[in-house]
Amino acid sequence: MDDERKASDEPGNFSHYRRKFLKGLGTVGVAGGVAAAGAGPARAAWGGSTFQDALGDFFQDHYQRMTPEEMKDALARIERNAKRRFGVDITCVDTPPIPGVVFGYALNISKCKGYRDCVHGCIKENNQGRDSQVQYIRVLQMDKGSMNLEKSEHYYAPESVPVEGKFYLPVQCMQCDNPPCVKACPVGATWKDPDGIVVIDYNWCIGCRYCMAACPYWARHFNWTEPQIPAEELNPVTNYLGNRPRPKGVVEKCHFCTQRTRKGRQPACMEACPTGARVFGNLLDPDSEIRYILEHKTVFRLKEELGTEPKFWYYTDA
Amino acid sequence: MHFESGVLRRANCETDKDMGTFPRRLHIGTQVSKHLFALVCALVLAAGAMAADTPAAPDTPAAPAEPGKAPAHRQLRLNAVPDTPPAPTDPATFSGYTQAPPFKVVPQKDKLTFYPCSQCHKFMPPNPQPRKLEGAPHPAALQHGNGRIWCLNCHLIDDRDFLHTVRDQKVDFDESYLLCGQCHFNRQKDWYLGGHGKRVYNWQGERMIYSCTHCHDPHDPVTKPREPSKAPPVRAGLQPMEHSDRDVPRVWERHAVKQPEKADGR
Repeated sequence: MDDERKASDEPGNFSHYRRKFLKGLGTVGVAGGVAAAGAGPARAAWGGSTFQDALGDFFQDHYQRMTPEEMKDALARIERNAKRRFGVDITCVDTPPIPGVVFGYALNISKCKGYRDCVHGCIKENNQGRDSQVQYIRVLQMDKGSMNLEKSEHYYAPESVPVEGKFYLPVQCMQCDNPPCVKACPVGATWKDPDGIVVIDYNWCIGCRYCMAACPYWARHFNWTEPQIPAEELNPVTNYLGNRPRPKGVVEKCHFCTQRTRKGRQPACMEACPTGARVFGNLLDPDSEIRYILEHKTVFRLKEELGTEPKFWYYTDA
Repeated sequence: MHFESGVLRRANCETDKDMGTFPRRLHIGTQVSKHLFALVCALVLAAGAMAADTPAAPDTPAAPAEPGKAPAHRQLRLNAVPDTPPAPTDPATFSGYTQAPPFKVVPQKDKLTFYPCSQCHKFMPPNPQPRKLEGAPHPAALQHGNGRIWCLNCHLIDDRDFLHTVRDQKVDFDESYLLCGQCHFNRQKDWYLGGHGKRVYNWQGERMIYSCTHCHDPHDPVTKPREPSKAPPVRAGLQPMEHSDRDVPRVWERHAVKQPEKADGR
């Protein structure tokens, strides 16, 4: 996987050498410091990480500029940090996009009954903070016969759903083909991968939240606190651009479960949906389910008039 | 020309399973025959356009009568009884949609409580008489089909571990989608091609699909309302207001209502 990625450390890349130099300098300094102070106090001082790893994180390059070796180090650091933070052995990999695949999603609002199982499937799969109120999916309860999002309710908690006269509209990241969040990011920490998924390098994110302001779907969420996840519920199968444990102060959002979908599996929300309202597939495959729906069903996209070209369609039976 | 179009039409018919029923449709009203006539004319035109050996003047439908013959009502080619009756063939069996991705049905038979049914039914004499079943474990009232169907429309009387279609094909319990599709063919097509039904595990390669009966109780197919999962916690600073149902007029709305009253008072 790593060797598939293009190495970008051409000689003459000044910033690269500068970074390497500083990193080396830091490491030498630390070696002295750690030898003098001992491992115990140093660990507490670096935010649950060692000085070595904190420094490695600090000098880590942008995802798209990292060499395979640097990526390997970064992944190892993520695994070590998770071990220190949660006491759980996780595996973090960097799965590249599958060539010839552009992902699309379709959701049957005739079948969605508002059970909200997708929301909880997503929380568990993607290691979202349980108390930090970060949820990638919002299921909106809407009045039948209207599409007024202002009047929607997503804190609904009736005895049983569906409620008479209401329909349910789950909203998550639409993985826009013309993503306004990417344009808004001042540091290039978020971009559209070749398979159409808009991903975030959490290490490169500075937490300015411009992307949240730019997103018309309220799909991006900010970690105001360190995500609190019970260790036994931590999903140990993680991906660099996906569900790896996030630090405090970065933005995150739905990434179509890159850790699953890039290996051919369904996203967690689709697996959790008990009604089969969710359809996921390759838009470039003419025999895929998503193409059948786009070609044969009445579909619409949310806020299509904004020109964001969402790759998330809603459809109805009939 | 006519012959060509007739062949064309017949060729189309032969793909139809109901070729044998054509003579029965001889007694058709004028309205229908008009439509058929229009259809034939269209086919004639199409055949004329396609045929390379007839470059000009295909038979126009406006002037069908030729001098000499001049029948008052020319019998439509379609309505003619075929010279040779169609050869009896096996009933066409539905074998799915070719463009559908390859799939497997998630087996469910082993989760059925009383399966195999023959455990009990081998001791009971089969009774084909439609009646109300009273004893457990069978549902007392069949909610499916509003009384139009009963047990043996789907269950096989000779071998209770199997189902059967209206064409008397033996169908396994795990292949119940073949049965459901006899009436719910639109849903079945969607199910094959991805617009209906739940798929599990993977989005590519061989698909795993839940059978119809996994989600729908075949004896009472409508899904029941259910309690939703836990609601999201309210975000700090985004608590819904006390009167969050928007029937309460907003400040500006209240103001807008009050103004005419003021005017009246003056």
